[in-house]
Amino acid sequence: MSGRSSLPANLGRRTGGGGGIQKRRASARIDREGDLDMGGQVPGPRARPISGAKPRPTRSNTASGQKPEAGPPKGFRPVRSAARHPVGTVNGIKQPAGGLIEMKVSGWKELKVTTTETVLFLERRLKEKLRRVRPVGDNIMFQIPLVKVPTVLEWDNMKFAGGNLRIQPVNELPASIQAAIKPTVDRSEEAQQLATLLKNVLQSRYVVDSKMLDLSALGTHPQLQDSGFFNQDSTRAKMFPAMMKVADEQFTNRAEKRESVISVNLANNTLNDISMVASLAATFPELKNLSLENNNITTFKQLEPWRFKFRKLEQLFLAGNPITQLPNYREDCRKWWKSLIMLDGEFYPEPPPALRSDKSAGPGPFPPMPLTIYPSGVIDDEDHTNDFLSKFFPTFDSDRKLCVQTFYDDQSTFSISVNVSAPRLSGDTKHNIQKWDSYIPKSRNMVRLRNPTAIKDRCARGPAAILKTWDTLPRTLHDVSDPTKWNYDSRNISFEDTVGMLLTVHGEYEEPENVAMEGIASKRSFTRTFMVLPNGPTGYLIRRDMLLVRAYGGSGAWQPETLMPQLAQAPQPAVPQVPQQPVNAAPQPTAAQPVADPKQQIIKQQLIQQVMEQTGLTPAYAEMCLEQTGWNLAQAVQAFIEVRASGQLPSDALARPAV
Amino acid sequence: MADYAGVAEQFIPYYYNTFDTNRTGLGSLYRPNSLLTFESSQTQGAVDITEKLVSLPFQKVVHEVATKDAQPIPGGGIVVLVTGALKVDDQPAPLSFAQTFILLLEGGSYYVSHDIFKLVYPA
Repeated sequence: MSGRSSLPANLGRRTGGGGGIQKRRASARIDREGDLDMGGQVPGPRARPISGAKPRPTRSNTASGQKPEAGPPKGFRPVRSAARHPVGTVNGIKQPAGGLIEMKVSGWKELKVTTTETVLFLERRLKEKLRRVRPVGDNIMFQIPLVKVPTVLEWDNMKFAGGNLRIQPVNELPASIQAAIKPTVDRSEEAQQLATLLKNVLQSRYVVDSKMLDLSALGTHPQLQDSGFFNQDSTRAKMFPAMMKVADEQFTNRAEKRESVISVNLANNTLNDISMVASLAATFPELKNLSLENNNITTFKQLEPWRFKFRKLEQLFLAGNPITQLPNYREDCRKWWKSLIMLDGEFYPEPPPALRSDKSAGPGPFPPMPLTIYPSGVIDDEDHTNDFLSKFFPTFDSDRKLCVQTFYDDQSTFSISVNVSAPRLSGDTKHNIQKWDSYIPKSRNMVRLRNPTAIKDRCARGPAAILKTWDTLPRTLHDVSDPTKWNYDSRNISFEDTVGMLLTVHGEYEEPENVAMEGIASKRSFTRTFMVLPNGPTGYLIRRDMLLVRAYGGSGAWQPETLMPQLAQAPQPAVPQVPQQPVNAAPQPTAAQPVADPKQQIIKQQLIQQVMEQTGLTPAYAEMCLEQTGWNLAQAVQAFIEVRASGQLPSDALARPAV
Repeated sequence: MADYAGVAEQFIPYYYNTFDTNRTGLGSLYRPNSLLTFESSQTQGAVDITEKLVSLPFQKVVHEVATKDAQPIPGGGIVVLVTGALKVDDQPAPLSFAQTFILLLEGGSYYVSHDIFKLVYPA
């Protein structure tokens, strides 16, 4: 890397600053105005001579006494003041030592500001008048004293009126000024050393397994401490942007970043706002998980630079910041980061708003599925389930390596068992094969397998082991285009501090090799139970996967017309009876209104379950909460929290300690 | 993680024996937040689940477990997948079933948090 161009303006010495990590913002540069410590870093492009434009002869070799003055448009005259006076006056205007340097400012036209506004802006910063100001095409030409050149050049790319101003010298800078900005050369070496240091820090804080960049409590990092980086507020302020720059250079493209860094932890950095770390959003725009825990963020304004950034952010942690006390904190977070699924470890009851319309943004409700599998039970989240199935099985069939990389991680486990005694579809001989040779060695059927070591070994953990097991199994072809062949039951289930999906799916598949080799279309039936987390590249991270294979039994079991007479019976009321009347002063739970639509009953029951899971309330009280809040899950949970906080929760309302 | 395989090993025979001999006894395996999905109907809470299971329209029932597999789940539970045959009353042909359990540990013992039962073969 090139130290100079990759670490622009980040390493210049900056004075002042209070305690804590400093903000980095455009105005930080303003602090340097008039700062004649030439240590200020100068942006890369500034040194390049503008060869084409030669409106004036270079004054670099002008004798110090031959100072040009701000004069009439044509030409300039030698300053009359004596050479030995470093500072003189011409026509009442102070003249600087070293002469005037011709500069140009561009970029202002796009910003819809006038020449005057731009000039005034610069003059305010410079605290003196620009000389010989005149617009030339898209540039504004002006002159400044030589000693001011380094300061002014620091403003190159400065934010102004919502855009950036470019400030460049018109001609090659004179030797005298090169000398004046000489320190920046040394700083560029320093920059390189720093870049190396930061690279080391990044590497030491990268957690491969979880693809997390752990930048928490950076002040305690030994290498950073040794570097003295945190001894100065000034360098501290620049450290993070520099680090992001270095991080950026580790990747060649966005996909690589996306795949390598899923989570960033910025906890415990005493951040008062995120301006100093704002560049994170540019470096890792597709971050899924972000922690800012235990900082000192109090308002949304302090998070402003990240508003609507991180378009794929699923989990955000702000616990330990005063901002969490704001009245509509959770709702507001979701307004800013519409893809959020979870905040502070708590799942949002509703799917993320971004995903309602934006498929590319990650998991969530999805557009109409090519596959509509008949759900037998009631589905909490039919879209997710359908989407998962229609993504998973085609990948499993076509590219198991890709499949394992996409849907599994190091903590995922897979096992398969074979039911060789399951009945074959009666009368069907052509689809049925009863050879199980390729399955038996991996079968983990614990009815037959008694050896604890074998039981342990046959549960594959992690992508490599899972793939190894899969490699021994025949290739498969699941027909996801025919919904009648499929049946599933899907449930929300809380585990690993989030809400995942417990899914049992029943279906069938072909083994194409048998078709090719033996000319028979061999099929098998299977049941597969997944526990899926909303995570990973597709938004589906399989934690547990249990596959059961048996002889092909068709799909008649779940076709409506072939309902088993043995088990057919009058439908149960879906909404449970209120088990007991809660005693004493508590408001009486009321049974749900009888509803004609069984689906609605089922939805209600799902809601009751979710309230129970989130609050620990008994079914009756959970239902009461929902009833009183118009069956709004979030409000019901909120009502519970309020009642509990007020100490009015009846002692019998809790079935278990709340989670 | 405790010996999840051992827990599953104990749980499965206990569950099906109780189911086959004393269905009301199943109530102790569920909690108020337990969910049963039995074919297409869902029932919640130990009381209602027991009622549902007891009210199934058969007198005699025998489960024959053909396969069982279990994996520990994060947080200390167990996911169990069982398949087998179900002989009901005097029906000659057994029914094939697949059943998934989520067992969670509470107060030193496991209970059934989720129970998903499905007949998978059109007898």
